[in-house]
Order: sequence, then C-alpha cells, then structure tokens
Amino acid sequence: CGRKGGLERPGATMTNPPAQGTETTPPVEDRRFILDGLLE
Amino acid sequence: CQVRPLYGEGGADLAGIEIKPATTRVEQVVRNELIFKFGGGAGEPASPDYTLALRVQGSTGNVLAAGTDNDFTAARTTVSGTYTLTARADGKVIASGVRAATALLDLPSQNYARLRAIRDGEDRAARSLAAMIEADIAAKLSR
Amino acid sequence: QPPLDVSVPADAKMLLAADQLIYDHDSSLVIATGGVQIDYGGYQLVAERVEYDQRTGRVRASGKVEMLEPGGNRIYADNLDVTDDFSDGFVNALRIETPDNTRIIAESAERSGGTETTFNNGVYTACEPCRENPAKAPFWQIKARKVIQNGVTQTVRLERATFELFGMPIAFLPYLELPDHQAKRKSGFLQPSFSVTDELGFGAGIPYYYVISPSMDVTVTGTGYTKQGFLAEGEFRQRFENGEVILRMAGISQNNPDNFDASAGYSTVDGSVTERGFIASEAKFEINPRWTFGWDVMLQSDRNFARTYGLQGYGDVRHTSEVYLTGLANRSFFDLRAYKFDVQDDWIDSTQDKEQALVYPVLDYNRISPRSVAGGELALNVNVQNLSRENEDRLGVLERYPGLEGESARLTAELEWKRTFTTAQGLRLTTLLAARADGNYLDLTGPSGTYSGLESNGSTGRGMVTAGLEASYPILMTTANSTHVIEPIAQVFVRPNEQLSGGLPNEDAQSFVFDTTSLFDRDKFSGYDRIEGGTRANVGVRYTGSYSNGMTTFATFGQSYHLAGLNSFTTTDLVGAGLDSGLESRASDFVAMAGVTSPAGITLSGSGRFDNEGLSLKRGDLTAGLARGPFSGTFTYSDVAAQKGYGATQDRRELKGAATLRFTENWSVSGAASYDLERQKFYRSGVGLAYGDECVEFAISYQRLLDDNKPETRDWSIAARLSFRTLGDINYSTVDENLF
Repeated sequence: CGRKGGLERPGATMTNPPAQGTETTPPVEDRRFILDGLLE
Repeated sequence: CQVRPLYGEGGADLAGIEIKPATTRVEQVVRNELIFKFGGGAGEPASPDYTLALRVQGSTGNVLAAGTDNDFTAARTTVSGTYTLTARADGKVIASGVRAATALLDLPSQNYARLRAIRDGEDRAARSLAAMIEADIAAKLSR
Repeated sequence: QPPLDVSVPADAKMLLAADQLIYDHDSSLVIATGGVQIDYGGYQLVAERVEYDQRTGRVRASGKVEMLEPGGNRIYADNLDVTDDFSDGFVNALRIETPDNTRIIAESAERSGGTETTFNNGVYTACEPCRENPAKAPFWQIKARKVIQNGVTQTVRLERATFELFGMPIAFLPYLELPDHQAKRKSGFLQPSFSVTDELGFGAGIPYYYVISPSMDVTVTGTGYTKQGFLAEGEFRQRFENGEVILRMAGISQNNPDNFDASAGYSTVDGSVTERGFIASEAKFEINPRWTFGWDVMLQSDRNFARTYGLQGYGDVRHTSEVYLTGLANRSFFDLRAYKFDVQDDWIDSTQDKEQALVYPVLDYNRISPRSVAGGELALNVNVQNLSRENEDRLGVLERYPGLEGESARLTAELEWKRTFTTAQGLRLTTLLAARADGNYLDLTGPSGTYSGLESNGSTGRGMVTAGLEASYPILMTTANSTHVIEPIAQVFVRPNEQLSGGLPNEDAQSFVFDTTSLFDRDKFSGYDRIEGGTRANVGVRYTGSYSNGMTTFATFGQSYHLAGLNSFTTTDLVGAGLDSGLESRASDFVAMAGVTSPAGITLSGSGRFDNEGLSLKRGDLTAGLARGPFSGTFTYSDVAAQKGYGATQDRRELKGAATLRFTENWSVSGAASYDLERQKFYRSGVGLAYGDECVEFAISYQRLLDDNKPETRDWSIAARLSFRTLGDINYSTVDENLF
C-alpha cells in the first residue's frame, strides 16, 4: 500500500534531510509588499 | 501578611518589559493590551530590562445547541496564555505561568454574525487574560 | 533522489577492538575473538568471533552477531559473511529492527549492491515480541516466502505472503509492497473505508495515491454504494516556494434518488437530482513573513451533495467559503476577506441557504502607532462591511430579523487615545478620548412584519465621541506562600446618545452577552453595527492570586450604572441586541467570574450574571476539569434564562460531560453526554472503547444524537477503526459524523 505524506517545497535542497516527522519550516523570504506601510 | 499598593513609590515598575512579536491575531490583542498596561501609553521600551515570551491559544465551543424555537446557540470563547518573563541581563526566569479567561457569547443563525461574535469573544477574553498576566508579573516584580 | 549510498567511503578507517587478535601471516587472515567490536564507516558490528580475510576482502562474523547500519537498521544474526564494505554478502538466522520499530525475522538473507536485502522465509511485523515468552505469536505478522527490503525505492516487498492474527492465518496475498521507514510519500492504495446509511446503502471506498514529484501528488478515490452507485473523488495537491494549493472534485450519477424522499418522509434536494458533483479548492501563500493570501472555496451542483456523501472536510451543515488577504506585524493587523456561506439542508423548500449573507468584502484594519502621541497610545480602527442577501431571515413570527433582503454597506473609522498616570501612592488614572464616524448605504427590502424605524434606502451616517476616565487602585497582599492582587476599578464614559439606533441593519453585532469580560469595555456591543451611547459608569473589583504550590486563583465582580442620556440597551433593533441583557435597568445586573486551577490537575471556573434585585441567576456557566493519572474529564453546567426581546423565548439548562479513562496501559474507554435539564432528555450521548499498542490501534464508538427537527430519522451511529501500524487502517462508520 502507499503512504500519503506532506509535500516538500520545490527546490528545498536536501542538504540535511529533516529529522523523521519534523519538517523545520525554512523562513519565508522577506520580500517587500505594497501594503507593508500599513503595518509599520 | 504584608499589604501595600502594587504600584507607585517602591511598587512594581513594568516600563522596562519588552514582549516578543505576536504570531496570531489573538496573541497580538493580548500583546497590545499588555504594552499599554506596562507603559501607560509610552509604547514599547527602547532599552528593556526584561523579555516576556507569550504563547496565546483561543478556542470557541458550543455550550447549548440551538433548540427548535431558540435560534441562538449559547457558546463560550476561552483564551489561554502561557507566559515566561526573563531578565535580559542574565536570562534568569523571573516569572512564568498559565492563565485563561472565558467570554460568553451567543451564536445566531447568520453565519457571518457567528464569525463576528467569535472575533469579539476572543478580543474580550484576550483583554481579561492580559489583566491577569499583568497582575501576576507586577506581583512578582515588586517582591 | 540519489540512491542511498550504503557502501563505506574509501578513506573510512576500520576501528576494531577485541579480547584477542591473531594475525595469520600466510593466509593474511585477521582473527578477532571475544567481545569483538568493529566500527567502520558508520557500520557498527559486535560478535564473539570475526575473521577478516584481507585478500578477498570478506568479513565473516559468528556468535551473537549484532550490526547497526547507518540507515538505522539493527541486525541480530547467528553468523554473517559480507564484503568489507558491508554492501554484499549472506546473513543466517537473523532478526532486523528498523528505526520505526518494525521487525523482519528470517532464516537467511542475502545482501546485494549495498541497497537490497532479500530475506528467505521471512516474518514481517510492527509488534514487539512478548516480553514473557518471545516465542508467542504477536498480535499480527506477515509470513512471506521472500521479503525484499530496497533502500533505493524505500520499500519492503513481501512475496507470497500470509497475514496472520495471533498466529492464525487470515489472508493470503500474492505480494504486498510497503513503504519503509525513510519513505515520506509512496504511491499505492491507501486505507479502504466502509459505511452504511439508509439512503446510500453499504459503501466501500478505496483511495489510490500517486506521487508526481516531491511537491505534487494526486489522490483518486472510488466509492461504490449499493443503493446509489459509484462516487468518484479526485484531489490534486501542489506545493510552491511560498505556499500550497489543493484542488478537489467529486461526482456521482445516483441510481435511486427517490430513496432519499422515502427515508426522510418529505421531498428532498437529494431526491430531486440524479447527476451531482462538486468542485473545491484550498490555498495558502506566504507573500512575506507578515502577509498571507489564500482561499477555501466550494461550489456544488445542489445544496446538499457534500453533506449527503460525507465528503472529507465539506460534510458539515454550515460550510464557509472565503478568500482572504491578512497582514500582521508589530502592533498592527489587516484582514481583507470575502465570504460565501452554504447551509446544507435536505428539505427541498428550505431557504436557509438563501438567507445567509454574501459578504464582499469585510475589511478590518487595527493599527496602534509605534510612537506615543502626547504621552499616550493612539489607536486607529477601520472596518468596511459590504454584504447582500437573497431572502429575509426572520425568527418565526417575532419582530426579529437577523437578516434583511437586499444590499447594505458600512464604512467605520475610529480613533482612540488613552494614557495612564500613576500617583506616588499607587493610584492609576487612565484618561481616554475616542471619536468615530460611520457612513452607511442601504438598498434593502423592508421587514415583512410590523417593525418600523428602519432608515429609508440611500446613504446615511452617524458618529460618536467619548470621553472616559478610569481609576484603579491595585493592592498587593503577600503571605509566606502566596501573593494576591486586589484591584478595585471605577470607570465613567461620557457620550452623546446613539444616533439611528434601530434604524440600521445589525449584521455584525447580533450576539450580546453581558459578562465580566465586557464590563469594563468602552463599547459593550460585539460589533460595529451598534454603538453604545449615553453616560455610563462601570464599577468592579479584579482579583488574582498565586500560591507557591502552583495553585492559581482569579475572580472579577462588578456592576454597571446608566447615568444619563439614552440607554442603548433599551432601544430595540432588528435583532434586539442588548434587550433583556441585564443592562437595560439604571443599575445593571451583577456580573461575576471566578476560578481556581490546582497543580493536581483540577480546574474549576464559573461565570454568571445575577439579577440586580433578587440576585437570581440569569445566566450561568460552570466548567470543571480533572486530569489525574489515567483519568481526564471536563464537565460543564450552563443555564441561560429566557430573553424574550432577544429572541430566546425559553429557559435553557444543560449539563455536558466528557471523560476518558485509561484503565490499562493499552485500553481506554471514553464517554460523553449532554443532558437537557429543561426537557429532561439526553441531547447527545456516546461511548467509545479504544485499544492501542506499538503495532495495533483499534477504536469503536457508538453515538446517539437527538435531532429536534427530524425526530423520526435514525439517530444513532457506530464508527470503528482498526489500523495495523505501517500497513494502514480500515475505517467503518455508519454515518460520517464527528463524535462530540
């Protein structure tokens, strides 16, 4: 039978495969967004 | 037993506490409320002496299911917060604990009104939670 | 994915320790005897005797051999004959334990290419051997002529296998392929599910999962129903650099639509159609660490398809579809959202679905400026709400209209400034100023009853200004092992009267419960569609206590007084928000909250409103929680007195409890019930039994649900789940409903 698991981010280089079960969410790239000014 | 004012001369000074950034809306409501209670309107401290780590969780549960003629489902929103206050100089834990507050609300038949009622319930419970956490921290800091 | 490189790197040094080491020069044979330990390129080997032939590069170990592979497998064998880089060779009478605690026992095994190990006459199980007598057959095991563990395809393949329960053969399988412990995703059939309901008959479904790439997969599920035919479901998932999208589709051509009318006893939506389908999508994207964009939308051919067939995640009576853009950083929050609400109801003439609002959009923007203004905190709150509705939603024959037909929009902007002064004696004075302006646009059909007072269509507006002062004097009491803070608080808010109260629709402030959490609020209404006016004072006391043994206590008590002007809680509006709430009299009802949590796992908290004259309980809510050792339970008592003006015409009292007891290490029983004290009957009750150990999970639950509107439909359901760890589980349920 198969096993359905969470998907990986494309291009997530497998330098160190995340430990079993825990997927460390890499930080989202900090890009500017037009509405950022509203939250300063 | 010793009785004295919590603030004022010789009382707790909470102006030097910085709070870690919030990750959810409810956590931000508690954080904003505490920043005002700590600073009285002065905003976040420039060079804080303490760091407060805050983890807040909100959940809404039905209490009474709507009967045939009552279109209101009585419900309750509980917001619980785990806090840890550490001194920035040596990282020593000054105070830590768990507190929770519950707001009562009604869920009407309109789904939109339900979502807004839950949002208001979260805000109210978050403000009561902030009051309890402020009192706990002030009591510890004035010991 | 590169094949797992198992063989040892060339430069790895072999560390060898033993009681005795003999080097036979002419046969260039190294013989180590007595507690031999070898560590070589991540492989660790322990044996009583090891012969290492330098010419052929073979390692022969014998006597209680134990080998740990870099991948985590632990091998126990009588003797072992492998190449010196451990990639090829033979092992006899062995047992392998994989890192995810599964076991393969075999007479012999052959290793080839460093990535594949073939076991002859192997037994595969995820159960641990019974400690008392290891020979006893485990709960389940699979005996197979051949077991092939492949490190590249990350699979364990069993050929000519027999599934055994307690040692008794149950099923013969030509071959079975399982994902091994490293595989996060693997194409193949997933767990089957079974169900039986009156309208659909017996249903059996089997999903097939196909991995397209590490960031894309498809799941296709076919479910056959004896009475309605074949339901096809598809799910496509794709993950991107900063988010994930899920697309779902389902469809069926019903064989016996009239079954539904027969079993419901009235004409139903389900019975009036044959071809039925649905399409849905979910997505979430992180634009940057502060901003998130996403949606969760569903479209179906008729209004009860997803609920009738219990589609995962879409089976509830109320389903919300939404598209949102949310930003959160520092002290500010932004949320722009559109909503479409579905009410999945089977009665063909029901208009509940059309009575729900379509909201396009609702905007919440709450900002507190980082720098203080005149020594105080300045907050800006903006709310935009634009919605429309097809049918009027009216509460029976009462003059209560939770929703009017037509379109209405409101733009609200509010500024609040507040600052706290603390005197040397510890008195805290907080001054507050607030100003608010609303613009409204109405294009509504008037209420169908006799309610008058609604503003005429077109645009209108209103505003409010508030000056407030709060005084609080927190006192600290410390004893040897406890500290207590008692804070008396008094507030006064001076405001003009609420304009147009009752003249505008009330969409976001319909819920109104006066309790200690809203006692000290500047505006006690729960939304922007109502504004609290008039001059009001709130007085109360807050207490928190904490004890050195970890126990904590808290309490709040207070009352509110209407001093001057129009009391907003006496004026009616389309939903009667605030009426019979306890605030309509000059001196309000008393509100109180108190609680205690003890480190021994006991929590008790209650909240109540008591009549200002007779102190009779108008609304009460008591929760008790106990978590000690194997027992955990919560109990709730709720009591809501009738509030005729607000649409609740009857008293309601209910006791609700849920508890779980783990009576042995593996067995636990749970029960839950909610008992309606007014009508003296169980509204919902259920009991569940569960067994779980390292290789098997079994749960069965029975639930009975009383549905007032449909007393005659069957109101009980049974759900069971049996799962063999790493093999998969089998779900059976009569109706797919969450238990509590």
